[in-house]
Amino acid sequence: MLTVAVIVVLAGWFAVSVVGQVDSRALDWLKARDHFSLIPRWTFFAPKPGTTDYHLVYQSSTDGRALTEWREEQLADTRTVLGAVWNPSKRNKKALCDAVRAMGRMAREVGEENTWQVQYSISYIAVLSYLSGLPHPPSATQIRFMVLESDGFFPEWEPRLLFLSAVHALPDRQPPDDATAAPAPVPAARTRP
Amino acid sequence: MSIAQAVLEPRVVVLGTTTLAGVGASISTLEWLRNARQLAPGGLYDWAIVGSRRFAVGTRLRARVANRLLEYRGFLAVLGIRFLSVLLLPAAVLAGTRVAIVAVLAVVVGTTLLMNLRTVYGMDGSDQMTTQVYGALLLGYLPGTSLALSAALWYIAVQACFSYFVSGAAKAVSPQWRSEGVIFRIFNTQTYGYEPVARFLRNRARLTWSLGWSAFLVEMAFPLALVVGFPLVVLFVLWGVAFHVMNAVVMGLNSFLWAFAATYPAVVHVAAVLAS
Repeated sequence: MLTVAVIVVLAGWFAVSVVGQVDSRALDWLKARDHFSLIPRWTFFAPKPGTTDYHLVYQSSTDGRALTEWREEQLADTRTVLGAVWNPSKRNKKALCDAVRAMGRMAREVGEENTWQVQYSISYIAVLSYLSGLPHPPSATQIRFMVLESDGFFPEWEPRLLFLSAVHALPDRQPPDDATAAPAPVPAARTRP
Repeated sequence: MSIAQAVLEPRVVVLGTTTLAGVGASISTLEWLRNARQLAPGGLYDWAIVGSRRFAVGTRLRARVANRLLEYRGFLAVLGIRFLSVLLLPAAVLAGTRVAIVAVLAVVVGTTLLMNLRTVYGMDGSDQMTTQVYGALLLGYLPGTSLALSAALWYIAVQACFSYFVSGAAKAVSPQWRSEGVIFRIFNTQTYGYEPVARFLRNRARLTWSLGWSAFLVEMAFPLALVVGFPLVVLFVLWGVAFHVMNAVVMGLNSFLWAFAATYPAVVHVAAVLAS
């Protein structure tokens, strides 16, 4: 009896895997609840392969005055032979990439007038938290970041802006009296048309 | 016992699968532990942020358990237990006691699912395949019958072939993939590419086109591995290993090699069973 149950479960699991390869609204409900990632998605690099690079840059400021140049947090690894076996930085870089892509996707979906909604997404908050934890000048009280897209090693076009965040207070820093508190009001954000 | 006989023996196949999956899963778990700082408060995977999803919010038992297991210290313990259990699993298979195998597999699957739950970003296809492999093996061992274990091995083999087929078919129907420059454009990115390869492919449109087409045609043909019999199935396995080694070296996708190689013993097993 248990054997039959196992075979039925395996058959059902495979059937869901098959259906899970196509985008369908009927499955969205199920996928949204697939917290354990039991439904695989095998369409690697397809139908639209990633053929551009994303860049995450941030700037520290105080009282709206920039204290640093825009600094880049690397989202890509340098290839090494060891990296083919042991590649711990890949996880963080892919996580940042995923979060940045999710922000870009959401910004496109909600439209330019509603880009402020992106700052309430987990991606945005996670990236903001991560960047806030990086070293900043002692007098810095605020941070903002932007996402750029570029054309790889041999570019055919100039990097373009995808998303510009609001200005946020850095945690545990004394903000000036009129500094923006997080979450910020509608951010000065814009996306690629 | 000859190789042809060995691949028909489910226990040998499971030993191969759990060993290969175990190497990949232990590396992957150690990589997460190496990034422990990012799991801590203020890190990229700060539980205060990634745990703000509906299932972990509130006072219900589900939320309380999730918060206990997935906050920083709890999750480090989960990772530690996973590391030990994936290494212990092949030994349990060798010992051959079903209760021990089921117990270790239950821990492996439990910690794998918790990992999937905790790390909303940074997961990839290798994590998905590892979940499939361990999940199917646990189900296969539960009843204690050879039929159930055989069904699990079939599941792994068919899922592996399906994954390659879907990957190839999704590329075949994509206008971008059928165009000339897609392989160059992927290798031209810093994210998944490699500058020397991009430089080499840059002005070789025909070669780039051929590489793109051959990639998805061979992927789509992979299910044939199940019907060509033994030892021809080994050619598909060799292609798979070469493909994933290349992806590990050039694209940095190190974990795919072990996760997908872990399915090959089951692919060879099913091919041999069908041929016999």
